[in-house]
Amino acid sequence: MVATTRAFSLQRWQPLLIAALLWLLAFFLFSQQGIWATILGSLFPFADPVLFERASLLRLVIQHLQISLTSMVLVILIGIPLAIFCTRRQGLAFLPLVENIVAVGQTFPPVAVLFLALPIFGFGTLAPILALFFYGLLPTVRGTLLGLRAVAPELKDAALGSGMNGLQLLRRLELPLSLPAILAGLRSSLVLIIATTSIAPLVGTGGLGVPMLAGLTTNNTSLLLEGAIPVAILALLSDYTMRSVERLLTPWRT
Amino acid sequence: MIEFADVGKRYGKVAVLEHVSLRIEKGELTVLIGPSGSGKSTMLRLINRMIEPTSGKILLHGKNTLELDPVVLRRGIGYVIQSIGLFPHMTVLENIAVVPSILGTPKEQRFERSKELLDLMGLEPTTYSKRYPKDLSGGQQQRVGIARALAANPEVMLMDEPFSALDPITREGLQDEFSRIRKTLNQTIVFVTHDIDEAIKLGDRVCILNDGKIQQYDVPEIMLRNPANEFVANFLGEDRELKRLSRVSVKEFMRGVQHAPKDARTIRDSTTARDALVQLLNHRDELFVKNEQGQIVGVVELNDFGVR
Repeated sequence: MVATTRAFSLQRWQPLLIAALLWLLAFFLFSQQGIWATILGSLFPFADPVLFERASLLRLVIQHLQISLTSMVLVILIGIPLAIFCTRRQGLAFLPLVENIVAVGQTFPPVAVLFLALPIFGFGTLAPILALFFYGLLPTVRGTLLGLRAVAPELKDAALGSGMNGLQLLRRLELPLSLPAILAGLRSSLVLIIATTSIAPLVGTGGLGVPMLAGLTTNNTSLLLEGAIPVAILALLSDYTMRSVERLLTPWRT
Repeated sequence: MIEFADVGKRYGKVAVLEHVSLRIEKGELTVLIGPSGSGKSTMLRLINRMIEPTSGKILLHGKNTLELDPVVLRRGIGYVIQSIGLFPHMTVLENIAVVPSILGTPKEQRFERSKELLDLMGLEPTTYSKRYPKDLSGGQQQRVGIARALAANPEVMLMDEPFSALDPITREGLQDEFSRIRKTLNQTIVFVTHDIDEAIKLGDRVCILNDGKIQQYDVPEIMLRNPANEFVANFLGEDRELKRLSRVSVKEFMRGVQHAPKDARTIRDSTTARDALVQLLNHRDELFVKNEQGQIVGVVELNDFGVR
């Protein structure tokens, strides 16, 4: 029965399949150290070294994604429930507070957040992950709040009048209808976090920021680009992937 | 069946309903009607506790609704609203099956029932089951809305201006179809409208409200004949005698005869007195009335309407 009402449609899955192929292609490209050396070497013949020597590009990409995705998981696990809580009757009082804290988190420059986290968590991975989480929280929380508050009152009236309880209202009506806004929020958070992870090496972790920082301090554009280009690729691909997920999960919109 | 016992509802100092007592009989369609702000929707929403009374109580099957769990209460009451309120992320079939689904009816069973209802509401299940609400016209959406309210086979149905947002032609079609379908079901229906013609057409009983008070509660024929006060008379309109004719059969006015001339104009005995009158005004002669078997049973002229 489910199969007939939610028929598999290639048209809907297509963008996600394309995204998967693009990811494979990107990782293949990151693993080809030689190609990067040749291209960057011909663009910047006087760069020394052309590529970062203490870690391969693939390794840096994986480190980068580990940091970004860990922060992202925290954003999902804390941001969405927080927004849901603030729109329930019991949590309504916290709504302005949460909105303000979350907004402050993003108006703070990420470098400052990073260094504020430093004395508390010390050098290592924990400080950047928490700083990035705090920094990336806003779009997700705001998207979820926006989505939940945009559910038409007459739909809630119909749902409650049909005998749904609070949990059923949330699960069967509010969350599915807010999904586009929530996913859009997650997409912004993800792109923001992936881009900002570049400054994580300032407090002593890895990632694509490592060659970028090295390049900046030694005036080596080749090293800078070795970090910057893959970050841009990761951010663009994440954006595209999230858009495909949005289309797949909300077939009733188009 | 449903009883309002001295019910009052106020918001702060504003009284929306005052001392309302009303008994709604099992299996009947009761229309609540009145101008905006008369309290008709409030009365309806008090029944399924979307609103709670400030004073008095509402009894359903003799039980005080305030002592029941509102969620359980609502699952046993069909609910149709003016804005229709179909869930845009669910297919037509999933929308209809919402209440059985929250009641835990197995998937196969609830979709089977939903398809039957879709069919009953005049929508071909194979065509419409998998569509989303946005792909339906307003009239089709409200058909699905009514099917959704019927899905768990509730004993009581509440309908809050279900046809008001539709265009006049769709509305009239749906009214006709709804009265036809209703005869095959046995729901007790409470129906809110602001359209007096709709109230007279559909209601077994009509309750006219103004300023939060019941003005008159009666079967339409009696109400049209004997309005309880000036407000009711005005609300029913100057043409209330004509409206009354639309509720009665031409048989009430005809004189019994057995034979008709060869080229005589004939009408069926199921024709309303109003339609017979319209035909007489158009053609200025007599109309012979025949029964289901085609036998002549009577005749009417304009004069026959005059003596009553």
